[in-house]
Amino acid sequence: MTTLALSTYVPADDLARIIVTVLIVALVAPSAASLAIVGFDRRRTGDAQTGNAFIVLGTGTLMLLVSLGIYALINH
Amino acid sequence: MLALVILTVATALVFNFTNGFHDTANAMATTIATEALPPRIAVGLAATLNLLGAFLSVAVAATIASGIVDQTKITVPVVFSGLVGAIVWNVITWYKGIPSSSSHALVGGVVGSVLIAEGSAGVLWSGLGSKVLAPAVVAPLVCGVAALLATRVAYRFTRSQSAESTTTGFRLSQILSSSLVALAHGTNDAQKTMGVIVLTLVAGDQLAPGSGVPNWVKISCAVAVALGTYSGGWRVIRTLGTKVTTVEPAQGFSSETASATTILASTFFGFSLSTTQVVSGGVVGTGLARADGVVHWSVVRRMLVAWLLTLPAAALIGAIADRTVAAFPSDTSGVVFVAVVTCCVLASIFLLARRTNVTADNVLEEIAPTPDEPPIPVPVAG
Repeated sequence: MTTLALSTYVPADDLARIIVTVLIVALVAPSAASLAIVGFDRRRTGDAQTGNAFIVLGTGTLMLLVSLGIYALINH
Repeated sequence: MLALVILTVATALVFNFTNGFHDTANAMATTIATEALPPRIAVGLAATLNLLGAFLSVAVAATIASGIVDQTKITVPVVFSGLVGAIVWNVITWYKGIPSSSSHALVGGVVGSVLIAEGSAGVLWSGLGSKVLAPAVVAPLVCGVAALLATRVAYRFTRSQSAESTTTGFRLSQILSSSLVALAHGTNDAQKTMGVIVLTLVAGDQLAPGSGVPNWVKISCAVAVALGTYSGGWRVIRTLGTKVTTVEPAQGFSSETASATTILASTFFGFSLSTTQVVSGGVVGTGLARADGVVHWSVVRRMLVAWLLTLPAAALIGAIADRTVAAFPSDTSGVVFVAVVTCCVLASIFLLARRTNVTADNVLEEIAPTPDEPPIPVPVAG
């Protein structure tokens, strides 16, 4: 019922896309930040190669998300 | 007519300033609360990004009042009265430290003045439902759930890492996510005022209908929102950063990430949201996610009541302003009178606020909230 009433005001397809996007980023962004944090800890404990790889992957993913955010802002 | 237009444009810039200082909290409340950045640096960064954001795109400016009120019914006094409603409500909620929506205040003010001036035919009720009410219900919920999920992921993945690395890492990440919220705020909110000024210029025959946003309008709106942001709405920052829940860096990052994504995804798909409501939903969601976290529901209830009141209260003030202007023999004298009265009201509120001054120096002092009921412990998180 709620969905039905809501779809009168917000197109269900767009709403679904927004929710999926938000939930994916809610999983990916903290995972990426956590990966970079694990990387720093690995580097500190002597495993520099794995640590660096984690840091690059984590920060790279975060930067990609920020770039997508700015793209969405400019191209809406 | 020119004097009337100038006064209304000035009032729009004052609204933009109040929008900035009211909404500084959206981007920086949790960043300040977790000490990821010192308060002054945080609001300086937010102000700079709001300034930049205002120039990124002008898509929002073209659509602000269209779809909500009948554009043919808009006159300069109607716009002025709507702005008065929005400004007064913004300053009242700032004084009370309540994060309420400046965008809804603006819509409420304009709807109120159109309603009283032109009758209900001047308001496009379905547009009000689709552009304001439906997103107001959905957006905080979506953001809250996303923030809850993000917080649990963040804690789960870093549970075996050192506290030092986790705190430093999430504080740095938080600067990134809150910067994105500030940028989005500048793009969306500065442009809403650009839209209002363009509307005023067109209604006052100073700009041809269908014209783009003049550069001086872009620059003045960007500067007004940035100055407002830099002045820092410390009362709202205190509420959102420390009174809703106690925020740790992982939560601050998760909450800001969820907020930025909700705002940007919605903007991309053409929905204009209240940044304030999204961020507030995110803060509540992240509070619910932590095993030892508490959400102070008495504070949340106050916020919800303010959200419900924003549209009708701003509309009522806008309507009163409109009728007052109409009672004068000329629009200009009426607008001058209402402007003077509004200045007196605002000055009184600012004087009252000085009794319990909240500044960058004491914004975090009252970390422990003072709810009127015991906090509710929240289960959870792995």
